[in-house]
Amino acid sequence: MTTAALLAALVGALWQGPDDGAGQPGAVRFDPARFDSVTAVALRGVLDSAAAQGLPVAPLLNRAYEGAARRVGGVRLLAVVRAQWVALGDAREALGESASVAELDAGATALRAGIDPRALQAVRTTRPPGEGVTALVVLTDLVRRGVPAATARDAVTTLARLPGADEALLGLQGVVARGAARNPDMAVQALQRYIQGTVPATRAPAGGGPAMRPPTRPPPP
Amino acid sequence: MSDDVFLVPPADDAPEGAAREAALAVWVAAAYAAAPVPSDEAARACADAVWARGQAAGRVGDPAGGGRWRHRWWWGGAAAAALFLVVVTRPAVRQGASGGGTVAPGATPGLAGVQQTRIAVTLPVGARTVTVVGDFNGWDTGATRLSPVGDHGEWAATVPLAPGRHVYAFVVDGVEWRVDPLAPQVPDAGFGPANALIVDGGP
Repeated sequence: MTTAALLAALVGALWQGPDDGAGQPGAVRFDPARFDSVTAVALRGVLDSAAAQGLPVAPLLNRAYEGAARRVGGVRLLAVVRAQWVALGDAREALGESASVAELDAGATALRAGIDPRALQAVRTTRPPGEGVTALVVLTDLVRRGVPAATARDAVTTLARLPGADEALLGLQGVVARGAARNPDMAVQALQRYIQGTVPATRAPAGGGPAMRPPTRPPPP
Repeated sequence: MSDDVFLVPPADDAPEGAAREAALAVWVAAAYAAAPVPSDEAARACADAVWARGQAAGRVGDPAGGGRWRHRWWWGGAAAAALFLVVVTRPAVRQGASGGGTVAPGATPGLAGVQQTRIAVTLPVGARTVTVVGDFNGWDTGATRLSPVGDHGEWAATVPLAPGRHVYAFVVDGVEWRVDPLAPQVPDAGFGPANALIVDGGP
């Protein structure tokens, strides 16, 4: 290949680069200088393919930049980006075409954490379009902290239907995180206590377990 | 990646001069867009092939080295013009079409809806520098430094964040990657654990 052809290839590649979503909130640009040349070429191929499928490129670029910042090798970096690309496609199947970029990214991460696509669908149906990110993030975090996937799914879908769902979900995440930090076996107990204390229908009836009873003041004399 | 896809130049009856270069650029771009995704191995092989052919083409006047593509005096001007187009024009096209707001690594976003978000972490006392890296600063380990708060190991920074989900982590003393153990976390997907946060108002 001659100098002219190499130059033309460079110009064409730069000009016809993937639609990286510039202008969209959270968009990032592809900076090949942050990777070795072979990795940059292969990465551009992944980005082009993802863009051709209508998948967002920014989550893939973010994972690539993360790998570069952590100084991982090109092969490992590409493996992670490719896995995220596949997971983004699976997340779109589970969450639907109307899912936002943030939802797709969170859904892909949830799938890579081992969460079943049906759990994603269940969570998705509980939230208005574009507002499922917190539920997906919390679901992934709960499973990561040792809560069984089915238990986590039920808890998240229950809270996601409440008014002020995001605050309730983040409250659940915090309670479970603190419980798991004390003892990993306490994650599920903390979750159940939080659900029982937050969701009216699951509160223990009067005379129920003392641990479930809200504190009361003695009646005035 | 085969030669018949990438290495066959336009026909000899193509226009001369800059028009030929433009036709060549269009052809290369079309071939690039139509090409299948290469595997890692194929990408390496392609890079090696390009390198080898580039060296061979450097032998000016050698028929075996591509005599049909001898260097010509106007290539320098064409190269300068092409680089000018890429460097100067392309960013303007992208930003103009989108109305700005691209979150470039290390840059402060200018989007409507950007919220000043406090990010804090408590670390064992003794850290000298703490930075936060994430989707919002292009994972630039030097972009966002945290300041110590009090004497109990808390570090914090206020970061302008666009609405959406952001993955982030902390870097202590420039070498040690840490996460906030109590904040929502994303699983280790091959690089190491990280935190996630959500800024309301996203699409």
